[in-house]
Amino acid sequence: MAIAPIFEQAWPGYSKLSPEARGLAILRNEALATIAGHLGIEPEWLHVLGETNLGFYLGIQGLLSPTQLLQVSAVDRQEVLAIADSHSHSEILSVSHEGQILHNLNQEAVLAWQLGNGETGVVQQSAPTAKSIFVDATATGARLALPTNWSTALWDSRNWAGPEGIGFFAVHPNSDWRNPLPHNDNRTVPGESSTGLLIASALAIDSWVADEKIQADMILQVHRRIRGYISERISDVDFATPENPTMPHLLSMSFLYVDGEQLLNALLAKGFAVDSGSACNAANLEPSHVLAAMGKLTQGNIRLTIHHTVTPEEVDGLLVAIEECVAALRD
Amino acid sequence: MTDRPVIDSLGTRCPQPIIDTARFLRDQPIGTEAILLADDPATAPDISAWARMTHNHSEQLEPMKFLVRKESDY
Repeated sequence: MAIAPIFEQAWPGYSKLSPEARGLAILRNEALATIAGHLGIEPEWLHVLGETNLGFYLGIQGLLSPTQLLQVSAVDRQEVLAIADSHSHSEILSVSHEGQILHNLNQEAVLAWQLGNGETGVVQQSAPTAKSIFVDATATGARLALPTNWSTALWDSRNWAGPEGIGFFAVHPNSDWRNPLPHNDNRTVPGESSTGLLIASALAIDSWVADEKIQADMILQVHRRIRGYISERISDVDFATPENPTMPHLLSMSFLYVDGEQLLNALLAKGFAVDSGSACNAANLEPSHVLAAMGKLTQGNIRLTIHHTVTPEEVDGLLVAIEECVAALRD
Repeated sequence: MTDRPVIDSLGTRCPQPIIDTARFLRDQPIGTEAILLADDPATAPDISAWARMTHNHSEQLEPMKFLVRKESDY
């Protein structure tokens, strides 16, 4: 699929009245309809964001009145925790050892509900209730439907292997949402977004959904194989991902007595790029708040993402590399 | 405070405080208590996870001070 021609076509603005602009508007609507279809919502409810993280603010603040209680969870993303921090009346719900939000029902509150966690793969098993609900679907993408009583929701194009730099924000027509940003019009999102990125994201989600149907079983098998091997061959491992994985493409594990950054670099040197939730990791000074909230070990953590295209040889290579690197670092 | 041995891991970075604790208690009899001093932010969650994983005991006394007790031969 050639991206360059899409961008050439999509360069002019789409909100003008010229034939090119009208043509682009039609392409955009088709792309939006494709994406909305896969996400299980009406296209009219879906809006495009050129800055995905703005969606956390729009989605939560737009439901929240100044004195209303905002409930978030201890495993929510930093963007959500920051919003809770800046609101005068917030509550942080704790999670179980399995990462399930210990939901303390408040009918008057706005609840920020993290449908799935992008570090651990934990998916919430209970149905949320509140006056209004913002759903963070950035980690679940097209895998899971929204809970039935959602008010606003946010997705990230990268979740279905779409391009970075574009996100999707939905407002349910029955919700109390009003635009929290200063505005003199009735737009939902503040600006225009790249048509090229939008079309690329629609193509990506189509492709992803088709692949997922074929590959879901394979990914689960790979997940189980990795977990089984590591449980058997390496001692003192703490898995953050549930035993019956609800998002099997993610696997998070922590190795006792191991420096996470050193493990990351050792694996990189052997050709394997993984992420880490450890504080002993150049990108963070603090350990993963998600792991800490679950009571899981934060040191020596690696997070694997199992892609549709992984091969058995790559898995073999990774397992051997992890075993060798952990042993070397524990020496 | 009675004379519990002190494991001084102040100024060290994770996972060193946990390694120091494990090393110290490994050679001690079951029931031994020690005070761990550590300022690395991962210490609180990790000493607790260590205790769970190795069947020992830990509790936080102050922001940088933890009580650990050997309860198993891990």
